[in-house]
Amino acid sequence: VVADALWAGISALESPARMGFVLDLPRRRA
Amino acid sequence: VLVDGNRLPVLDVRPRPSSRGDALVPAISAASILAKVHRDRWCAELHAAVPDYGFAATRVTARPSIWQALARARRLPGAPQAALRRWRRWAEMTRAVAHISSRDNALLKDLRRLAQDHGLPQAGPVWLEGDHLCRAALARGLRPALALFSESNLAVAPLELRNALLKA
Repeated sequence: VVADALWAGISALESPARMGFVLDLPRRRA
Repeated sequence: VLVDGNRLPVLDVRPRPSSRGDALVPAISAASILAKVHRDRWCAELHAAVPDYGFAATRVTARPSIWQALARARRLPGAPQAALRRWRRWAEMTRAVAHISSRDNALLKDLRRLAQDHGLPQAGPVWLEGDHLCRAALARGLRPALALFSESNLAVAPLELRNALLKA
């Protein structure tokens, strides 16, 4: 949970839902 | 809900941190005693049945051996299943959520860099923002490595999305 004042540092969007996920994409096999 | 300390659990109602709440707020002191006595009864019951997992320890959520054992076998053979279900629920509820309030937090710095990287990565971490994208990811069975909410949004975000905090 990020303090409201710090959220603008992460996001430039004006999205009303101030949330996000970090996904870890698997490396594709060659 | 008044919470002892500054690490807030995920609840349906807005939690309010209270530093040293167990010493200063009578309701927290009383709730803390009731909850710990109640929890210690199931832990004693589990410890008597499966003594090798360390259920008798008071700081059980900090013991990786229990989580590793539970990840390997959802039902520990020989353990009383009702007590195990209560323990699991309690451990999940009390697994605290990190609260970022400093601009210099190392995780926050990494997130800023990640969110400002607009390329499409072939592998590794990627930032998805907003409830539409996050819902779409959950609907496709993707599990976030990390779920982030702004403080004011946490209380109003749908439960489906907030649950990602516990599952992340």
